[in-house]
Amino acid sequence: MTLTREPIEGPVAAAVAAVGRTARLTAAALAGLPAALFRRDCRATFLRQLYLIGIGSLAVATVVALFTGMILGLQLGIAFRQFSQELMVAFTLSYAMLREMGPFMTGIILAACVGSSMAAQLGTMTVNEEVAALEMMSVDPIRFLVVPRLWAMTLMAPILSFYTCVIAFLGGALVGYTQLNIPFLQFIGQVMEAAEPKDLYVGLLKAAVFGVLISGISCAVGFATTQGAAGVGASTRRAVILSFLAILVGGYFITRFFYVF
Amino acid sequence: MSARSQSILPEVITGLFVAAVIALLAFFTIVISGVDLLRGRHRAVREARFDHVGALKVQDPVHVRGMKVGSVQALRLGDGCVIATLTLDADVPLRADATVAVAQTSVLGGTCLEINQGASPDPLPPGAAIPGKPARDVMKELGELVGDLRQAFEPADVRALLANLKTASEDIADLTARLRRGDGLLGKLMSPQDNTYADLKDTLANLNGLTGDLRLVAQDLRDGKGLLGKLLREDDATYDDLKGTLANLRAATANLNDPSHGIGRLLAGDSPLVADLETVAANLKDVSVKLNEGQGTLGRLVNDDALAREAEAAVKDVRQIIDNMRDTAPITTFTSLFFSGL
Repeated sequence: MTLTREPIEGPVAAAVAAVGRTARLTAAALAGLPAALFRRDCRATFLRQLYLIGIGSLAVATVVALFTGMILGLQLGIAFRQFSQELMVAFTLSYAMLREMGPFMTGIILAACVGSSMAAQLGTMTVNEEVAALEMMSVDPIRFLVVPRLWAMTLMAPILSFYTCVIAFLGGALVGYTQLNIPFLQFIGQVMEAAEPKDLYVGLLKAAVFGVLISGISCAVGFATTQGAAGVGASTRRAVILSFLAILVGGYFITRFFYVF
Repeated sequence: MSARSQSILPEVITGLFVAAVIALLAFFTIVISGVDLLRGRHRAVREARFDHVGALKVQDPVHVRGMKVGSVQALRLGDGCVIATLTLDADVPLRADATVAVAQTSVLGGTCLEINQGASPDPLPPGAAIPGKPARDVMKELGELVGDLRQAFEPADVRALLANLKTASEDIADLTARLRRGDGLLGKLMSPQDNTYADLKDTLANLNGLTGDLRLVAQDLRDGKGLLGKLLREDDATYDDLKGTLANLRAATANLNDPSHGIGRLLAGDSPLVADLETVAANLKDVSVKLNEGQGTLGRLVNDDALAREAEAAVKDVRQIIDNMRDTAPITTFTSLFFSGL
């Protein structure tokens, strides 16, 4: 798959072509998993990306998850207190985080922290014609640049999602203990009692899909960068916006697929 | 730190993080799948048979007397029934007549199984299924209740009920108005201008005082003060004295009733003294009759005033004569002596 392209006339055709190009890029990167695992150059980049995505986003994910859990716990507690059903906070938080909020927050954090970085990095390489140089040296840019990033994001997103859920539960339990007089361990026990394996694994799958979408879009937008430094900035902004939209739309359809059909 | 160490440090950190989260994920998965790793108790598997399980689902809790002792592991259709596989704490005793019922955990929803342990002396044999009671369909029962209410309250009944309510509300309004005006005892009590409350308060104060006095009397009785108190005390001489007096009275009464004794014979009418007394009484009566009728000297004297005056005059004359004789006695005596001496 070559990354060089001709300009396409018309916004609709350009949009459709961009979607198609992104899909092809993503499919090609997904198919390159063996390269990421077994080729030395790819594996090093893969491990580096795992670190950047996982550990690099950990602090942000921790703060966001902790306070999201605390806010949800407090707001739900205020609402449920009217019915003397404070313990329902744990149930509701469990459902909300495992099914939707955990993957969604992780996707937003990754899109903002990592996706934008990917788009900027690949966009800079594109405008500096480093990507073209790789192609000229018969190095597949997808295998060398996209595969490690996409698989690292795909593998790390569920892990971060579960980590986010756990931190949010702890935040909710903290609020439950201090504001709602619910014992800490009882809150955690209720969370576990409310949790269903299906909710947990659909949430993890959702996070993995978000990882694929974020990295695929970011890489595709980065490769499509033109017009120098200004183009890199625009590509970064576009990558974040498109990733957010993809997360929302993808999240809805995954939920509908697993919980309605 | 060497260059190699620096290069592998991110990988090690990433590996530790991933391993930690995956381990936590595995633990979470095991726990929410129903395996009780946290408590580490021995589990026993039991089966329960239901005609209908309602909204019961896998992982729903199983309670005994309100305590969670296990969960529903599986549900499957049997021959004309639903078989629920339960994992329970091994130390929960179940009797041969134990039963299990599907219950609702709250009005908002949620189901659980409630086990009745039974009262039979024999334990539930291993492998025996627990008979299940059918699930209560609360919504259906509510629907039936609403239907019954609708039937019970026909429009005419509702109108009559509303009319009664209106009358009752008018009565209440009248009552409150009377209270506000200070009518009746309650109104007077609630009225700040009326003295009934003060009187009642004084009466209560008097009653309180009376109660205090009664308390003092009771205290005196308890202390053995006064005749009653002494009588109420168990070991007191007054009681013994009274007892002796009563015994004496009883003996005297017995003597009075005994015809062998003189007084008894007298009371019984067997004594000659009675006949004598009767004779004396008859004589006295005869004398009194004669006196009243003016018979005899004494009767005339009693009844005839002229005779009485004559008698009085005669007495006076006699007294006069005696006085005269007393006055003339010395002369007479002197004369006698004189003449005797001659």
